[in-house]
Amino acid sequence: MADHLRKQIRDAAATTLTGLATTGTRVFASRVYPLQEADLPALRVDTNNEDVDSESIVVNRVLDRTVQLLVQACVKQNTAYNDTIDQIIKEVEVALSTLAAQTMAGAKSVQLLRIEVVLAGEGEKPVAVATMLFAVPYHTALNAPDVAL
Amino acid sequence: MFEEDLDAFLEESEHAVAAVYDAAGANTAVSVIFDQAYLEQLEVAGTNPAATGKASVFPAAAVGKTLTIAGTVHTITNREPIDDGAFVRLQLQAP
Repeated sequence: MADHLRKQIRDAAATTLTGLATTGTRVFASRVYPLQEADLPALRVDTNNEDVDSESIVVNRVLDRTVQLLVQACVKQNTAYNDTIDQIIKEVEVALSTLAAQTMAGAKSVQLLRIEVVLAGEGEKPVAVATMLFAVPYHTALNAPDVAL
Repeated sequence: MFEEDLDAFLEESEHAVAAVYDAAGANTAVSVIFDQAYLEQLEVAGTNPAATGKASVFPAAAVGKTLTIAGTVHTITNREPIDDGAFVRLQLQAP
């Protein structure tokens, strides 16, 4: 059995976002530990909450699912941190707008819902993090969450 | 009237260190207590460099000036009076 489509979507997003001009190979999927300065500027990629709906009650029914794809841009630098954040956001949006990205792992689309930017200036250098929230709808059979329909 | 000897808290033979305060281009040798504790911001690891010194040495105008400690030139980003205000804690930005 293949991986759950949540993981397939997360992995496909991380692959799509690897090699962007500003963040390069510094793309981390489901990272729970703090990023180090050498890791930056970077992207954190994760799949979060998921809404699941069904239009029937038959045994092998189809589930309409929408998983939240989180992409976080992380920057730590003394100046122009917000400019760098906006540049990364641009690169991510463009990368996820291609047909291949919009249909990655069998997804029906990748829709940007919200961008939140948080700045922190208590430490040795300012840290800026932008969280981009995408909705990724897909369909599976009830008994096969690893196969997109 | 009791007069505080603030310099007693800034003995370099004990826990203070020598530093160079660049106020308006005039380098001044000063003594400060330097801390560089671990600080995590927005899930990014780092440190929080800070120096404690006499308020009379570091007036409000110190913000934006530099403080060189062990060869590292820090920019003073904030000045926080401590207790009665005789000492201030300077938040420092790394180069």
